[in-house]
This record gives sequence, C-alpha cells and structure tokens, in this order.
Amino acid sequence: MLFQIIMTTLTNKPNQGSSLDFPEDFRAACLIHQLDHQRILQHFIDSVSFCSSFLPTNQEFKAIAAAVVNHYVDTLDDSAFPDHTPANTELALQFLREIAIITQVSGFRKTDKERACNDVIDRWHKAFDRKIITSNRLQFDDMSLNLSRDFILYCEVSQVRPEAILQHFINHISLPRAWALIASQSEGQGNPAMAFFLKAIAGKTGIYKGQGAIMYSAVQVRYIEKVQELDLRLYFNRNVPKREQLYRDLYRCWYQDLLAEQSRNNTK
Amino acid sequence: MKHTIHIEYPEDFRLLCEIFCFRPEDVIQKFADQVSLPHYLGAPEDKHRWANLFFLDYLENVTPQRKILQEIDWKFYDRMQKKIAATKSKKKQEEICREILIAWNKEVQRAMRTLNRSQSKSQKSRQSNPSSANEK
Repeated sequence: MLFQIIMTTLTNKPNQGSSLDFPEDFRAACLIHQLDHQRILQHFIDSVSFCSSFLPTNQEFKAIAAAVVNHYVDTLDDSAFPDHTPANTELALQFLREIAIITQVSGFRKTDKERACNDVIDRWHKAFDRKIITSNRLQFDDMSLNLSRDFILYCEVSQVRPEAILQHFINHISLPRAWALIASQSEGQGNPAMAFFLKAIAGKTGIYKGQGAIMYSAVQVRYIEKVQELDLRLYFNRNVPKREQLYRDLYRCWYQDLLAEQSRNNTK
Repeated sequence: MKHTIHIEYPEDFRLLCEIFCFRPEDVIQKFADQVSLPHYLGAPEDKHRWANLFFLDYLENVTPQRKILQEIDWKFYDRMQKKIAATKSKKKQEEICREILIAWNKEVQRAMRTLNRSQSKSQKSRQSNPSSANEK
C-alpha cells in the first residue's frame, strides 16, 4: 500500500481504479465533433492560464479554462485542504500580490504586463514546494497527458489532484444539457467546462489548427440538419427537462449512428 | 386580405424561377400560405414545415428588437402548448391556437404602442433639454 502511494506520488499515475471515467455525453460530444479524448483534455490543460484570470485577454477561452479549475475547487469543502502548508500559502500570497500590482500599473502595454505576469508565475512555479504533482506527465492506461506549468500551479495552490479536475471537466460536458439551457441562461455562467468545450468546437481556441477541413459524412450532415431544426422548433419552449429530453434523444441517435458508421468503416 | 408589396428579386431567386418556369409571386404566395404556427405546433414533422422553420430562423436571427417582447411571447406560447396537450382533435387544436394567436397579437400591439409612446416622450425631453442629455 505504502509502495503504491509512493509510486502514485512519483509518477502521477492515478491509483488503481481511479482512472478517468468517460460518460456517454462526453463520448458523444467528442465523437460528434471529431475530437479524441486525449486531444480535448490536453487542449484544456494547455489552455489553463493564470495570467488570463488577472489580465483581460483576447483569448477568453484561457480564462474560461482557469474558471473550470476554480469551479471544481468551489465544489469542495474546506476539509479537503488539510495539508496546505503555511509556507506555500505565504508564497502564494506574495506572488499574487506581485501579479495584482502588475495589473494595476498604468502606462504599460498589455503585452508588457502579460510578460511581467508570466515572469512572476515562472518564479512562483519554481519556488513552490510541490506536494501534489512531482512529474509533468499524467499517465493513464490508454493515454498520457502533459501537465502545463499553469495547470500544475493551479493544482498545487488549490491542493487538488489533476485527474480530479479532468474528471470534473469531463463530467460537465453534455450537449443535450447545454442546448436545453441555452434559452434560459448563458451556459458559461454555470458551467465553464461546457463553455470551454463550446468555444473549442466553434473553432475559437485553435484546437482544429493544423487539421485539414473537417469532412462531414452523410450521417453528420443529416444530424446537423436535425439539430438545427430542433433548435428552431424549440425556439419558444423554455421547459428545460422537456428540451433536454428532446436533445438527448437526438444526440443519442446521432452518437449510435456514428458508432455504427465507424464499425462499418473498420470492417471494410 | 390582399396587399401590394414591392420586393427586389435577387438574381439567384429570379434565375431559379425562370429555369423552372415559376412566377416569383406564386412562390412567395406559397411560402406565405404555409406559415402557420398552429399547424406547425400540431404537426412539427409535416413535410411542408419548411416555411415555418424559415420564419423561426428569421425570428431568431434577424429581429433582435423582438427580445423586448419575449415575456409576452413565452406566456402565449406556454398557453398554446398547454391547450395542444389538452386537446385531441388536430382541427380543434388549430382553432384554439389561432384564437390564442389573435390574443397574442393584440397584446403585442398594445405593448408596442406603449413602447413607442415612452420612446417618443424621452426623445422629446432630450430635444427640449439637450444639456441634460449631454451631461449624461
């Protein structure tokens, strides 16, 4: 047992049985938008940015990615942070103060402020006594993820394990839920994970960069039309459970048809 | 109810009409005939539903000022949904929905009049007292 804990700490390999769980809504959303699980998770990790939380940025998705981490931390009660050492807390306050001063200084260009902010984060990252993460790689049975500097720092400051944040992100991805709520509230307000995903699939985060034009199969085209039609049909409908049910039925069929199409292509 | 309307035929629309020997006014008349929320709500899968979907798309994308009246829209739409659920006959459903549409229209026209009155009032007060408007 002790050996397992040591190994987990050294390699960030999750405890046995604690690998990531991918609910159907997440799997469907990824398949429909032609993103594999590793890619969207790595993209999320890379997008988490300390600077963007403090400085207004054109890359809003980075602030949203950071908000996912904060959203997860907000769901935990105080007893979840028993090991917060005074030294690290003092360090965090010291560097946060420096960042706050940079953001307040007038007469500097935004890029200069960003550079200065990044320098502070670099020093913070080096000075931090790491308790949670000792390797920059998170290894699962079927995927491996690189942990970025800012993501590591967020985990350490918040005292949460990276896989817990990733699981939180995964659990909050649901296209039926997002479209059901779109008439009654801004999705970003209550669910930053979904807000990030929606920005990614809209091509606003660069996740599809380097990939050629997306080819839509006949199945994809048919369902894109169906979803658009359902959007219009539900224009006046504010009944969230009813809306969610209708979207869920449609997305489930879409997902099943794509899986069937995939298996047909694999057997050819 | 007959109306004379003046519209410009874009080239692509005109060409299609000419190729298929349609009179543009017939196509537009057919579109108008098929726009019916009472019918659409009762039969959303009807094969002639596209004019309704075009109308809803227009509503969603082309008319932002409509948001002001959203509460009224929702109230009447909810009423329609409840009536449809409580009525079995398709014909009866359409009749009831049409009655609700007429009441909906009356309330919207009333709200628009109030809105226009308050807008012209604030415009007049700005014109009579431009300095206070500048201060703001």
